Amino acid sequence: MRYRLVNINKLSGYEASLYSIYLEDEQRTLFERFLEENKNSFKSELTNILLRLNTIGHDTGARKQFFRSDEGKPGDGVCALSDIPKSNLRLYCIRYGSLIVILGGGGFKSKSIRALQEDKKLEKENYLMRQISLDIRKRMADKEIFFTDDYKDFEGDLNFNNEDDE
Amino acid sequence: MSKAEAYNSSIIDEIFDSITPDEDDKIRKRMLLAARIDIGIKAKGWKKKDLAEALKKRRSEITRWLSGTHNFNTDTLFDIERVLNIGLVTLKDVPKEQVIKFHLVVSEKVASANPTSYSDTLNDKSLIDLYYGKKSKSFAVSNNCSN
Repeated sequence: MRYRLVNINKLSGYEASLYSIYLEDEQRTLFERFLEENKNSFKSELTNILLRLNTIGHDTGARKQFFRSDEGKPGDGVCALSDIPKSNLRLYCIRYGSLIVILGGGGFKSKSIRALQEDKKLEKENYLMRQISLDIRKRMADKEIFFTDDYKDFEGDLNFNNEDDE
Repeated sequence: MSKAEAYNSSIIDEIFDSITPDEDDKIRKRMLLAARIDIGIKAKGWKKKDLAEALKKRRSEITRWLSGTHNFNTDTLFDIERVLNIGLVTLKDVPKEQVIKFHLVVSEKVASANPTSYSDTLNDKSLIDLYYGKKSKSFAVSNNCSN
């Protein structure tokens, strides 16, 4: 998979930077794909999610309390934006403190399932974010990606090509 | 070192265009309220469980309050204000700022000096004396007050 990290201009602000994963093959980000997939069935939920992300970027920062943590492996930062009451639309993210969030994909989590692994779509989206978190951590360990001095942005080689590793 | 590209998305713009300012305001305020309660808990040296115990609530309920999605009722907010000793609901009117405008008109009769230029006026000793007190002056001062 070829992808790069992009900063979502509209949502990023003084309090936090919001990123997503631009998929070179699809010519869109994971977050845009999530919006496209759900815009007809879950319009009000998407509106709510977008406004909350906008508030995180411009007003509150990515406070831990706004996310369901522990959606990935320990320490990988994979989380989900908290449920809106009476809705189970999950958006998976990777959170780096309160200053950076990478938005991924997600989907509807039925009340009839407990673990995300019971739903193929959610499992795929969640495991993709786990993989991306791992890719970024490797780049950081190799000193190819850094945080900027204010910890609000990434800099370095933000283009990934997992086919090189296969 | 290269930073990430600033990315603009047409679908994000499209959804934003359909959002009313009221929706935006409501969600922002819910999240700011949740953030303020969290700051209040930490300022008191408490954890979520302490607030839960103080208000006889389940911890999961406090988690929901702090998620920024909860629609609080006023009694709950008053209880939180009381135990955390913070302000969440403003009831007193904030005094309206008053703007008072003064119009000051100063006029003075001076002997005709018939200066040829502004700098001549400034250098004319008799005029300087006139301005700074050797001769009596008459000032007409008026003011208008309006809110």
